[in-house]
Amino acid sequence: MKILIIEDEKSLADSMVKYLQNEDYICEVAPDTQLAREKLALFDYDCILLDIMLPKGSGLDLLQEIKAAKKMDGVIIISAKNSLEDRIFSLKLGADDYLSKPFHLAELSARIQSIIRRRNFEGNNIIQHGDLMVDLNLKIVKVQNKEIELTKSERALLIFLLHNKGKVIDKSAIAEHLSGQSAMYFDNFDIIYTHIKNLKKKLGDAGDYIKTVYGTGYKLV
Amino acid sequence: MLSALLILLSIPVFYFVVNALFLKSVDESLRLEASHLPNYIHHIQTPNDLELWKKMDSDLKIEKYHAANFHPSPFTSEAYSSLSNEIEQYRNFQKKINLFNQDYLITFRTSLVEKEDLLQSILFLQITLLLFLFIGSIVINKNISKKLWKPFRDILDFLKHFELDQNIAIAPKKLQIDEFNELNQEIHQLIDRTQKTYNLQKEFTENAAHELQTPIAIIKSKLELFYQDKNLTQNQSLLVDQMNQTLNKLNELNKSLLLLAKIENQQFTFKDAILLSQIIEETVDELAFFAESKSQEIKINIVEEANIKGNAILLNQLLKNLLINAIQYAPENGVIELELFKKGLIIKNDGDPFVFSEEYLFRRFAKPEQNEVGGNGLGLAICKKIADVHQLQLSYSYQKNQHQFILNF
Repeated sequence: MKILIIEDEKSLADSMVKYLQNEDYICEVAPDTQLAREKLALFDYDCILLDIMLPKGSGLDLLQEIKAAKKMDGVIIISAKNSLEDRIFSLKLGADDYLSKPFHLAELSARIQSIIRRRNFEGNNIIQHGDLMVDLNLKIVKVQNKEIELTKSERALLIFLLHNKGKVIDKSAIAEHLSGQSAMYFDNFDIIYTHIKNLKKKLGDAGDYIKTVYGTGYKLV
Repeated sequence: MLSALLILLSIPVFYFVVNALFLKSVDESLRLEASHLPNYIHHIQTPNDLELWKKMDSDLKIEKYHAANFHPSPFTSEAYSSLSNEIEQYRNFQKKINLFNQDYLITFRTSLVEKEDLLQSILFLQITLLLFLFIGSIVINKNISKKLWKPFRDILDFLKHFELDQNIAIAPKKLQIDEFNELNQEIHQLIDRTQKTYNLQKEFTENAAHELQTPIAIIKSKLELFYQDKNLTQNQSLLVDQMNQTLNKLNELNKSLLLLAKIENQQFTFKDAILLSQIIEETVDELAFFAESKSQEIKINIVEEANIKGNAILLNQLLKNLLINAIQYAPENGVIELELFKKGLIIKNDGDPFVFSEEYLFRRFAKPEQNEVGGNGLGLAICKKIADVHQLQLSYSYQKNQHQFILNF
């Protein structure tokens, strides 16, 4: 799957490429709107990560062009401007998601995957991993074809881990993903630990896919 | 006022002067009368004539001379008047004459009743005049000063209601009085300069906070890549984790500064109709995860529904900050209560009283002591700011071992 990263901050673009390339993605970077236009004219992408403030033009203009060309690419706006107006405006223009800087790469990865899934596998939104099967539409989790009852938080946690397969996810990224808030306000991450523990127990043997990484976080292998 | 005082003082002075003048004129007429005496004294030939004279002239008193009774100059005495039936004052002038080889003392006298009447009328007139003058001067003064000081009052009023963060530039009015015009102009120039400086500073804060986002984002992404390194030792990953936590704090601080700057730069409108119970439930829902992490219970008690007009994003933030605050300061397994009334919202949580003064509570970065709770010193300052821009009252009290934040609509 192909991803175009339109971001002028080279260092940040590099990080995104590095994190995403292990998944089954091919990433390309365009540091300004002109290069982005050239690439967009030549190729189709599954997902476009678009910064708003770019050299040689605004990302929002580019978004309008992409949508006007009726391309099927999913677009995630990545902006340093964390304003609701911007967010609403971008979504109105047809962006699929909006992520404000700074963000967790794990969060970015999860968002990309859910967009690609939504666009490519309409009606069949299933993640399979070993004995594990998650139906995102029906919100069902199965292990060896047996349905397992999970709480909302546990299911969200499992999907987040599945979206970052093989990656170490630090606990603050998990906390932020589950609470939608900054992890700064957590004075301890016991709740993440509790959720993980419960999740592993409920998944039974499949729970072994989830590994604890000392001091930092968790990883699904 | 001073003129009234002068007039008041002049009343006794006037009294004395008139009194003296009157006495002087009475004395003179008495002297004149006395000086005519030699012209007709020769008509008194016999003691019988003298008795007749005594009876005829009631304004005259004739008695045998005694040195003790004699006053060389005029004097005032009192005597009973059968006419008016009361004691009256008389002015007397004595003269010594020799009749039939006998010294007689002749006293010429004039009633001073007139004088009293005159003085009374004068006094009455004076006091009436004074009263008129007094009342008149107060009324006139008030009116004049009201008119005269109106521009000054206007300027004062403007200054009283002036707030630096309310960006209203009022063009100086052209006034009738040069001095006020000058004052007005200077004030407007001062305000203008202050506002420019203030705006520059606000802009700077916003720009600085904004520019910081990108480097923070880069560091964050690099740290996340760091986690992925399979050769990371336990020690190293702990270090990365600590860096990550600190970076989170830096990020949150930056976001808070940016939000404050945005509020101050008036980048929000206040036109949303907000149903309080709804945003309360939303916020509690959003933050339930935090409360859950401390095994706390959040109780919502909607006593009355409340509606306000304002900015939904900001009010959400206000509520969120207050609730995060309550979650952070409430003990594990504690209870956090939200009570909504038509006129206000109360957020209560158990906890030990603050050791610092409450006035520090809403100030930026005013953390008098290190606390273990992970706030950045801006949460409540933001709350206060949001309440202020909505003209809501945010206050704090500590009652029955509970922290209470009260937001009055």
